[in-house]
Amino acid sequence: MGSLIASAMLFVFPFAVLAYFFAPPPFNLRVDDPQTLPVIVAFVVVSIVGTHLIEKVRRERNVALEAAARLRHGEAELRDREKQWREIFEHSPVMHFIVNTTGMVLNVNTFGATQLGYAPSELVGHSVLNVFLEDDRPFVRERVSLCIETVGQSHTWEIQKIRKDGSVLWVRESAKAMQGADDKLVVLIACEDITERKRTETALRRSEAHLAQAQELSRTGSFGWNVATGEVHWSKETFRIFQYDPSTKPTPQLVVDRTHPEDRADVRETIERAVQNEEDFEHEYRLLMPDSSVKHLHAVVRATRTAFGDIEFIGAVTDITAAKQAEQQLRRSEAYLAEAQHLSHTGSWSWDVHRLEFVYRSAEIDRLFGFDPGQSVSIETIRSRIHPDDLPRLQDVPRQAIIGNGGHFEYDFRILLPDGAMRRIHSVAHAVVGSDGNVSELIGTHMDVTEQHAARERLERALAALHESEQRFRDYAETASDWLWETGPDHRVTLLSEHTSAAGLPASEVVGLLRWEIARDFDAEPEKWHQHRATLDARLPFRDFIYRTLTQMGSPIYVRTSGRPFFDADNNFLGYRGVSTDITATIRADQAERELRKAQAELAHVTRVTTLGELTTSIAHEINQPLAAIVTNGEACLGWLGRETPDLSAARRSVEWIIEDGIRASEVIRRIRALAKKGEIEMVPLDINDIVQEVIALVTRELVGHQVKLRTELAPALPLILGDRVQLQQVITNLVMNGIEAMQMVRDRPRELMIQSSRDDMGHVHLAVTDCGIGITEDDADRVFNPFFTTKSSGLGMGLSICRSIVEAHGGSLSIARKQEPGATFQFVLPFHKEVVS
Amino acid sequence: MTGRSDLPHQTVKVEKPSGRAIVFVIDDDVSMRRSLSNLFQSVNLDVAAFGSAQEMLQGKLPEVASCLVLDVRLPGLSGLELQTELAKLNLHIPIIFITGHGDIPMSVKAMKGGAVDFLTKPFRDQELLDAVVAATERDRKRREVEKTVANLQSLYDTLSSREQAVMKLVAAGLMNKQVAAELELAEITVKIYRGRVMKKMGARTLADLIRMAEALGICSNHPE
Repeated sequence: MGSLIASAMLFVFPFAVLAYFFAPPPFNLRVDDPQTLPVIVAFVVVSIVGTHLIEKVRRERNVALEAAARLRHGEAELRDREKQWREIFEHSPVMHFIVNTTGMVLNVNTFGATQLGYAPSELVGHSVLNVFLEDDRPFVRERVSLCIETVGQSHTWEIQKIRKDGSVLWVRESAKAMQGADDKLVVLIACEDITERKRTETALRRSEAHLAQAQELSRTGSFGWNVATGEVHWSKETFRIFQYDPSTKPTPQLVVDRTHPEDRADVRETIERAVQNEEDFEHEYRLLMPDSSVKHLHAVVRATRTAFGDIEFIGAVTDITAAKQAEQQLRRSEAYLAEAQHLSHTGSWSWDVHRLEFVYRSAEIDRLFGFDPGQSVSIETIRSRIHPDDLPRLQDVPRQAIIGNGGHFEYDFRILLPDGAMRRIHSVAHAVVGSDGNVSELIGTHMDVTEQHAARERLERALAALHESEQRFRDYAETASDWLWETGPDHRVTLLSEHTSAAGLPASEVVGLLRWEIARDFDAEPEKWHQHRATLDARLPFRDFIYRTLTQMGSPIYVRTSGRPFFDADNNFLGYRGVSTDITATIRADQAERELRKAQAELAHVTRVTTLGELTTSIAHEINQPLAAIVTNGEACLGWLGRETPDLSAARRSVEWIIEDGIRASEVIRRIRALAKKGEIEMVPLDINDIVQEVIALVTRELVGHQVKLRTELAPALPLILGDRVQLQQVITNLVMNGIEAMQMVRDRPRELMIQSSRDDMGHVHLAVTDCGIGITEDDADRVFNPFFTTKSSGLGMGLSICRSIVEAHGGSLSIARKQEPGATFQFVLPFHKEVVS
Repeated sequence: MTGRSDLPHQTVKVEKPSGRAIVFVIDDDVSMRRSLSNLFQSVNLDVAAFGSAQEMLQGKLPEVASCLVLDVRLPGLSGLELQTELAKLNLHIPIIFITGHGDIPMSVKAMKGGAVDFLTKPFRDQELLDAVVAATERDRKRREVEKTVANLQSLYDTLSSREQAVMKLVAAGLMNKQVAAELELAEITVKIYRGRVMKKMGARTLADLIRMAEALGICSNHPE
């Protein structure tokens, strides 16, 4: 046939050529140019060579036809066999692939292709790697290479393949390389689908892993024990729990060995009983580990019967040491919490806002409400102890929590205890949102803040008292003075209360001035100001400093001021603070008073001189006594000297006495002169008892002459009073003389005059003169102090009137303390002399 | 007493009283008391000075011639009251009053009460001393009389009652016969009693006996 084709071609070709040249030109093959000639030449050459070749081919074809005829019989036979194999190949439940050395699929059976979701034609001619996972491809390549290197040897491996739809299946592949028909190496691969097995395997492995992990995590080991065979199986965790090497062959004895000696008997007994009764059991026991630590175990064991009818115990043993410790820890920390709550008076609680009941209530809550912890108390009982005024607020909290769906609450309320005591509670709560997104509970604390509250109240009271006290002192200061002032460290006025304007000193004009710049008597009384400046420089307080200044209107006013320095915390001098008073009116009144005093003093003098007149006899006697003594001593002295042997020492003694008596006489005269003196009033600190003694010296003779017995009760160490000696002598003399006179008519009883001095707790000295005379009638009592009142035939009637004015001028009072028979008591009271605070 | 001299500083002359004498001074004034004591001592008189009458009365008065110098106006018991008090106690001490400002009623009262003298201050000391000497002398005499009487009394006490009766009648100037009749005794018996009386009383003469009886105050005013 080949030759036919060749011949035909040769036949056609010349026609084609001829047609080219001779046929009307669809195209032209004319040799019109020099190029055409070589083409024609080449055509001739090719035709010759072609003819030769065709001849040769024809021969060879004949030979081949002969061989083919020979083969044709064997081929048919082969084809049958191949057909059989192909059937097997195609329909064997094993995937078969034939790939070449590059991995290209040469052939695949239908089963194989179908398994992978392909048509065989889709796989053939493509790399076999396409059906493997990307990650597995190097492995496949390596396997194929291995097969190729070891021709004829089988290799088996398990690997995953991808279906066309992307799903994966597990296969076990057996492969072997062999010489193909064309001498090329091919690799035959048979794949068995092991996906199902793999899945089971994986699931098993996973569940084993899970179990192991679970055992490890739960610290639970499992074990099996076939009592009949003595076969014991322990899980890894069991080994770990008992701290045996996993390679140890487990026996029940190992368990007993590890068991804590105290629990050993119990464990043994439990196991023996279980074996005997073939029953399930569960027990807790302790292990004593090699490191002396103790483990707590909980074991649950089931008795099962094996297929062979043997009893097998299968169980789980759990290390509950941590749980035990946690439990203890929890218990301890609960105790701590309870203690802390108790100590801090803080209780915690949880309130179900829907069921309106406590979910939890710490013991301290009960204690706060006055219940014994653990005592069963109803909500109503608890509620009854809440102050009725506070109850609505408390009940409002859960409502707010529900409305606001959450929130943080802080509120206070009071608990009324049955004994009447009240507790103040500060409560903090927050809402807990449940799984449904709504508020389910309120969790909070109640803290007993009674003490804090009381402390705060005390503090508030103290502050209020402080404020009130400040106001009070301000009131005092403002009412006790006309204005308040403050000066700085340079003594310039920094502050002046508004009251100054009333006194005609506008604050605006005074602020900024130095104190001595305000005054207008600085030049007139430099000494006063000099001393005042010294006080200021020494930073001493001063009191009642008086100066003169001018008002805005130009009229002089007198200001009395007192001040004290003030300092900061570091004791730095900051200035003076004080009060001032306009005392112009007082000064004027003082001046009038002085005039009055002067007149009174003159009158007193007149009265005194009159009294002296009355005392003339006594005075004469007082002077006569020493004079007579002088004369007598003089005579005696002469007598001593005139002896045959003059007694000089006696004479000397006589002269000494003469001198003494002379002095005494002059003392008497001095005293009388003092009384008669019309001098300035001299106010000096005096002891009233001294005055009394001086008066007694003056009136003794008068007392004796009138047969009057004098008694004195003078309190010792009396405080001094401030007074004029002569005037007070006059008062007492007057009272004594009156007393003597009142007793003149007394015949039936001893004439007794008493002078008493004393003090009281009010800062006064009392002096009383009591006689036992005729007393004073009720009518006269009202008038005795009136001027010109007298019951005597002689006398001015000014005595008691003057006495009263003298005593009053001394800041005291003169009164009749007792006026009925027998006798009367006249008493005067004078204030203690107070040291003037500079 | 001694006459006065016009010379100043005349030495005080004291007619020294015979035997011991003591002057009591009572004055509440220290100066006065002191100066008076000084004066009396300077003329060798013993002095006991007191501040008040009570003080003096508390002490025991000595059995020697003495006098009392006191101020009329004394605190407590006055001078005049003391005079009365002493009289009540039958103490016949002579008193010399001195006073600063004497008055007539007081002087009269004092003199009536038996005061020896009443001196008004200022007095010359010589006057005082003279008064003191006179007073002590008087006291001495009074004391001597008192002493004699006391002796006689003790002798008289040794007589029996019959003897006393005889003595009384004899001293009254009765004759033995009259005495015998009076006492209803025999005359001879009266003579014997009389002799015993004379002997016991130490009377040498009848005149002595009569004087003794007078001193004893046992003379009855029997008509002679």
